[in-house]
Amino acid sequence: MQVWPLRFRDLDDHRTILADDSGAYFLAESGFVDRYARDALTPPDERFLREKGHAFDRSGDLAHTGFLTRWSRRQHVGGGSAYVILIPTLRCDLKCSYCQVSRAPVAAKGFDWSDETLERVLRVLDDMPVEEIQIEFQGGEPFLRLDLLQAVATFARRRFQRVRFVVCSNLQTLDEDILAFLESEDVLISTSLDGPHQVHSRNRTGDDALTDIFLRNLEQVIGLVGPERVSALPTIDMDDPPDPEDLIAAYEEFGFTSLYLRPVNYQGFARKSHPAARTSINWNNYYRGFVEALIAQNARTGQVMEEYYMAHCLRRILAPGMDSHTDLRNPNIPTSANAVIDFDGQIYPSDEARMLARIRRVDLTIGNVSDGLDQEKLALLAPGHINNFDPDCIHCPYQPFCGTDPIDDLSRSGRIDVPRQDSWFCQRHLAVFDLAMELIYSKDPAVEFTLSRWLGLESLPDALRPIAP
Amino acid sequence: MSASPVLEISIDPEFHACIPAALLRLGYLYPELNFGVSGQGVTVRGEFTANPTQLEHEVTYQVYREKIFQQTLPMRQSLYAMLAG
Repeated sequence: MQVWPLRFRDLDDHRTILADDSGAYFLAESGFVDRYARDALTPPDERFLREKGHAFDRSGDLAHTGFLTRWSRRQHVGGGSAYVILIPTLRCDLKCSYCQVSRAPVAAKGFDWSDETLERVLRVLDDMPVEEIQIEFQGGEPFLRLDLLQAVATFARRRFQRVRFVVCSNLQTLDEDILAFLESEDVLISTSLDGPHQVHSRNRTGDDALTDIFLRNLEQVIGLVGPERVSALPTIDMDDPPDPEDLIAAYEEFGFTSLYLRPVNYQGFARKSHPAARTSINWNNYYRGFVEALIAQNARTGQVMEEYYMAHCLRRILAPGMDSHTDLRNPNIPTSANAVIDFDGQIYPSDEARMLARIRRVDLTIGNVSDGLDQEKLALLAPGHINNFDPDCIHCPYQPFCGTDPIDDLSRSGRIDVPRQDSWFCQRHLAVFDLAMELIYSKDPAVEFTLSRWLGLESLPDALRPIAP
Repeated sequence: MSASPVLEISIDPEFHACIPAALLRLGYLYPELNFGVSGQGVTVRGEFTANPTQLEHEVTYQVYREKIFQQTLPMRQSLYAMLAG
């Protein structure tokens, strides 16, 4: 019998998580690791490993083929659909203290697509070798140039078989034309709700009256298109984070059943105004506390609110192919099918890359709408977007579920080859996956209630919680 | 002559070939410590922030990881060979 390589990490003083390269995991007492490393597995150990698909007898036998299938499905190869972020304008009518994109003032000139840029953006879209696309409009505030959104939407609906639009808007301004655009069923709205009124005012609007307008607009949009087509996410200022219960209540008030907790991104204006965003310790503690508070509240009320990122990471642990979240894929090789096209026609591999370029930290353009993609730059960036061969990830049981973020590494450390454990991305995801594993193996009825609902199950079967003998 | 605390960690001889590679990684995971090869296994010098038992556990696990990595490398290489056709 041959055992596929197992990586391991202590979950606490007595329990260790082990996982193979296909993402199949189990919990064991630390003695198991000793026996495994010393080639001294017992017959019950071997029986367990064989039953759970961690071992095979011969290349090509059923166990071997099954592992190959699971392993290959863990590798994100893309294709089939595109996810493109478009920035028709960098201008914005808010002045958020943590603005990560270094927005331009609303009256500024030269921060919108020109007619020529629009035409070339449409040509880039037309050249994509896909029939399915999701187009996310970012900014600035995209609705300041509704005409550009309408032009892209008209073109994309004609060009692609399946298309979906996400407008990331601050919803400060609504008019009849914007509401008409939102009424189309292929349009989703993503907005920011930082918590209770005073927190939202402090972080985003700087003005209670503007916050009142936003909250009224949010209510109007939800009333128009339904809560299922509107998502909101809070950006958490770790210098003064909202109480988790207050934050949850602010989301419940609008009928949201999901929220995506995000820290202030160490980009753009936040680099000066929120220097604490550079480190991860406080964030990891807050995040854990929030998830625990959410689970307790779900159990108390019987209503289920989801924290999107934890639910997504749980799904990635439990099944291959959960690659819908572009920031957590592996490999995540930059291509035109997941690119960002900025207000000036420059193309970037990710939203964070354009943010970093905007503050002139490093030129991360991978082309522009006139000349196309720079294949040499793409080839240079590609190795940083895969975690399989990283000297630290190769030993981490969470590697099959995780990803990389070389752009964030560049932003915080000025280089992409920092030891993983020193990177914010790794510190954050070790904490997230440790917590996810604790939750999966928890026998607390409150945890089981929330997890099963998040995963769409009646209850959590023991098959999801394998434990070595 | 350094007065730093010294921790001797005994590693079974079957793992000794993996110690240098494990120490390479430990060196950047714990930059405040100095790791060396000894006749019995590993010597650690420096101001320990982790307790010695925890540090010994961590060193042992790094050696285990390196051994498993080296031992199973052909299996991983075969996976990528099959993926690449």
